[in-house]
Amino acid sequence: MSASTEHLLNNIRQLQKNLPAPDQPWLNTFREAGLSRFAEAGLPTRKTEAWKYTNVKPLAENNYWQNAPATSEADTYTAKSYLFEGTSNPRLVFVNGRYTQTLSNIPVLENGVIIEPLENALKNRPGLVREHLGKAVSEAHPFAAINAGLIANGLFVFIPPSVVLNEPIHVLLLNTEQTTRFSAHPRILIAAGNHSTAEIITHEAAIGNVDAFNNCVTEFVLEAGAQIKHSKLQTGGNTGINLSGCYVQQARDSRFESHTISLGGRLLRNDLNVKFTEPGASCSLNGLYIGCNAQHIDNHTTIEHAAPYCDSHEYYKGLIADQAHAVFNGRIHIHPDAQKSNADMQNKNLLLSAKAEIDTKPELEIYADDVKCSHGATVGQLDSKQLFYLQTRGMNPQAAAQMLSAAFLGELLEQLPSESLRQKATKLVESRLHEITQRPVR
Amino acid sequence: MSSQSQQDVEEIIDRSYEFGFVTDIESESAPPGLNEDVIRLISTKKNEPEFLLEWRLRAYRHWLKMREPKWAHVHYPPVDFDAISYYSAPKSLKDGPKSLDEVDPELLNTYEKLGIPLHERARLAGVAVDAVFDSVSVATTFKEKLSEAGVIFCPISEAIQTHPELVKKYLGSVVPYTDNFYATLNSAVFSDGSFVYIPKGVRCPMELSTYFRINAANTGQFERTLIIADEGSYVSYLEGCTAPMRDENQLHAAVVELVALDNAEIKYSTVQNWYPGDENGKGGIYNFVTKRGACLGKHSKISWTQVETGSAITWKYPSVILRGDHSIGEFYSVALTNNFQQADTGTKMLHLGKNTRSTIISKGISAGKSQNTYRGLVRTGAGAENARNFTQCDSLLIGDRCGAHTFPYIESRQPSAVIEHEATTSRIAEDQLFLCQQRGIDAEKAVSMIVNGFCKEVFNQLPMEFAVEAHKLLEVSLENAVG
Repeated sequence: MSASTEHLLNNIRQLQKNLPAPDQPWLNTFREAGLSRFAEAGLPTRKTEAWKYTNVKPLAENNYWQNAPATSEADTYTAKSYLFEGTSNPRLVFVNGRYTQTLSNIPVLENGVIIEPLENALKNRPGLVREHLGKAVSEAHPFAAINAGLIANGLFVFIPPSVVLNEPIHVLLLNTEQTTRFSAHPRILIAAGNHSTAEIITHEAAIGNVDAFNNCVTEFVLEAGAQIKHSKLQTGGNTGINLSGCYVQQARDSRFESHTISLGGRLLRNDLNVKFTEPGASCSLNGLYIGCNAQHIDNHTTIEHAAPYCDSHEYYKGLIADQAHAVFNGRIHIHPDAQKSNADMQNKNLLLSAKAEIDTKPELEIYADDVKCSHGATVGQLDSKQLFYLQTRGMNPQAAAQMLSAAFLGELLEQLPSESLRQKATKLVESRLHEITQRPVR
Repeated sequence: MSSQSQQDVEEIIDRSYEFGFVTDIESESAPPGLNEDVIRLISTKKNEPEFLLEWRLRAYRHWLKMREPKWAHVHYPPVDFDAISYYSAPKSLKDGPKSLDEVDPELLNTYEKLGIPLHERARLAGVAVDAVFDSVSVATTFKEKLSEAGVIFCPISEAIQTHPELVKKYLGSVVPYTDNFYATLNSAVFSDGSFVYIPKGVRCPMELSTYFRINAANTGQFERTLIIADEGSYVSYLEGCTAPMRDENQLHAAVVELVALDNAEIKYSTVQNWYPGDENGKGGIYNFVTKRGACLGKHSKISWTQVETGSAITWKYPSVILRGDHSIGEFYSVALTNNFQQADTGTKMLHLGKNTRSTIISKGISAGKSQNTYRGLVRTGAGAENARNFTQCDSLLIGDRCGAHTFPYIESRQPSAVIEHEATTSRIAEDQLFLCQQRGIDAEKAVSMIVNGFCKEVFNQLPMEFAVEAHKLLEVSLENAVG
């Protein structure tokens, strides 16, 4: 273990001391296992292949490794404006990593559905949590390991077999401006029983110049035939670091749909890992990202075809302007004997500024022969002919550029399953595009 | 598959490597192991000028600080660099042959067996052959015709004597001695290789060709090739290789440097068929090669075409640095792996100049228990306005125990650049096979036909003689795999 890793580990141990310590030896073992995994991996550097383009060195600084001050009334008040309007949906709000009951809404649930803060679930039904916790998370990921080491806050959702949840579950993870830096390590665990159906909408938001480190891990365990839709909206925050991991494990004939809309954050990294453990499972992963100013947006996805007869589709589109830096790394891994696998992956980028950068790496790793796999990646700019055409119809160049950019990204917005989210995201994307295209010509 | 064709397949699978034999010639070798004395010995033996010895020593000292790269998708037992002899020369050639008649008849025999009857082929095909047998060049033909045109085509050891200023200027200018572990090792101990200089405005009157051959046991082969195309010139260079059968792994760490000045064009074609090891993965060549071209001038062009069927391990990324405005880089590759072969190959296209263009077409075929990886980098620098890249890499899998992998890196810093990458992986379609068989073509021929069609885009880039050879090579290597 290097000195810097050891130093960091001490910081994490300090944080660990303040966690609620339920009288459960297995949980302590779970946390310890996480920390020892991190001790082994250490803080990744640019020399680590998975972190080649993303520098997390600032995390070595001490002041990120402390809890946020207690949630103030002002924070609560600000958070209100981030809630989805007028819904009776189950709603869970976390301000600076802490569950905030006053803003949350957990309706009376029927059919044995469980939606509750993880802290409570660990107390009330440790057996059920233990059964699913950590099942889907990739062992090697250093930040997932830290999250496991600090597990306490977050959300537990259990959907019993054959139950269909009609209303989407809203989760708001909001970081507000504080006088000091802090970190939050929430864990969202969603266990979907056989042939159950549910939709989750996560909104990761930051306000103003909040300089926090958000290390969120979302875990989905899908039993046979389960169908889960997950949308993730990421907004706000000119400073700070957001590392958001999402790990999915899929049993026979289950289906997972993911939509990631990344608009905010200075350093943003999404790790999305899907593993098919039984035949017949399928997933579709969509992603949209807009990078402007000095933003750094990194999307890493891995799809493990560990069983035959599975399908995966992946479609990520991004627009990069100003001095922003975007990274896409998609990996499809077909295991030996995962015959009859279908996998396709597309990544398309618009690079709009001479100071912006895009690094894309769609990977295929294939160990079975009866498969159909393809991937594609493009980097380009707005079509000058199309721009010209719109101008001949009386549009100014900025409006034309905005319209074409919106069209480029539009197909991903259209696929968002939730109407209210679609409206919200479309508005945000439009205003962001307006902001980018209205700038003086570079 | 029917039992009859199954039998055929097994029979073919059992076929041993056709080109496996050892020529028995006394070698004068340096003792195994590497130190500064060995480098001084190599340099003295070759009567090299001071600057080159210094360069070799600098490389050696740098190499000591380096570690073997581990990032490639290949696995092999560690190479014992102290067990390798870094210098060997066929003894009977100490004084150097003046013409073909003076060449050791046993050597010529070797080429006969390989199907490269040197004088025959050279005369008939109009190809000048600079045949490298182990480390010392043994025969160079058509020199006169080339010198008439002003083309310099000779072993690099000779060029060091006769044209030290050119060597000094360009050696290490594209692949610096600090570049990577194997290139650094090569810089320290390179034995021999080809040197080509095409003067201004000259179109080389014939295709230049070198046949390499590893022979003496335990001798690493460290070829160094340097090709310089001066303004407005053109050259097409062919490189092909086969190797005798051997049980121990042999290391091959060559370096090829290409320099194209304004309006110059270099076309470099390779058919690589080093001994791939037997069906149990025993033996075979480790082929760790650094190939790179620099389009220094405006409107220059460098084109790599490779057909890789041999070697136990291939680790090779022929690259182009597109520095000159309007320069063009091309990479056409067929990589076929069978049995326990491992290939990690691809290219790098580094766009620095304005309006630079690059095309990458890569076809990987893996069979048996082999692993075949495409690894490529396309980078457009901030100054590479209107740069354009198109990449297509397709993989074909034959058998359910092999692997095909694609790792493309795309890095763009230029908003006017357009980069496209696409890749597919699949196996031979049942319906295509069925159609062929229905027309009376047996399964094996059908597979070969489909695969040859799959590779056609690349074969079309090869010069005529090579295309025929590549076609045949693929057929032989492939048939082993169907089943």
